[in-house]
Amino acid sequence: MNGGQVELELTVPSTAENIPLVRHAMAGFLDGHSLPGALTSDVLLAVTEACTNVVQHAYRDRDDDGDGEIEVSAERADDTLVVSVRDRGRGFAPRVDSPGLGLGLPVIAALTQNVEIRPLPPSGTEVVMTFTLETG
Amino acid sequence: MSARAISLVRHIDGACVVMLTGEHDLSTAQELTDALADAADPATLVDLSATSFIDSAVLGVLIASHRDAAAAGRGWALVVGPGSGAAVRRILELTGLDTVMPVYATREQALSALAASQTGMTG
Repeated sequence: MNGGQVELELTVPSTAENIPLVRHAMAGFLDGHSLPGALTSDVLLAVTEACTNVVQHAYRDRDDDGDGEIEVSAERADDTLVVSVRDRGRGFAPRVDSPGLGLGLPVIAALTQNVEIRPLPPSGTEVVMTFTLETG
Repeated sequence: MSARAISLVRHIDGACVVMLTGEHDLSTAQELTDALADAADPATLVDLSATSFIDSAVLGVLIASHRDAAAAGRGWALVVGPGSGAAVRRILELTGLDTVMPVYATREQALSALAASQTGMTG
């Protein structure tokens, strides 16, 4: 099938400890698609950066970070792989007290063919990352 | 998946060596921060030659450590060798930080450079 069906769905609590869990699940999914090693590495790095953004930013206004979740899905259609990382948090907004370097999104943009950041009503953010699969 | 660890080896040829094994990300960033704080004197060598994965959260910790060392006049070096994972090289190249931080291919080269810089500072 190449109609873009969702082939991986994963929801985990939004904690730093679950970031490697998501990465390993994605690695298992990619293993089944015989992708070039460099592309696999790029996808795993991009997914990690997107999950880190969720953990660091999405639910920081909640008393209990454990209330939040990271939702990850992936689908392959012909020559593209589309990976989405979603949260149901406070939405995408500038942050003057950001704990990181602000490198996450630039790194994702450099690793992907296309990246879209969409609001998720009533609250939340979806980062949709598209990777082009090399053919021939 | 690969086991991961942060090990601190004190005083190899005048430097503290912090070795990262396996995958590292936000989940180990605080542990790495603590290890690098313990490894600040007299000079710090971060060895990524057995590191399969790092992300920007880890890079942030490395940059802060490098910045603090530079401000204090202490030596600091990074080893990215043949055993370093593709993601390690990729994120360093993408961010250009491999041109900002002193990166060496082997621990021996890094230790030699640190020793030379310490000699230069004292002599």
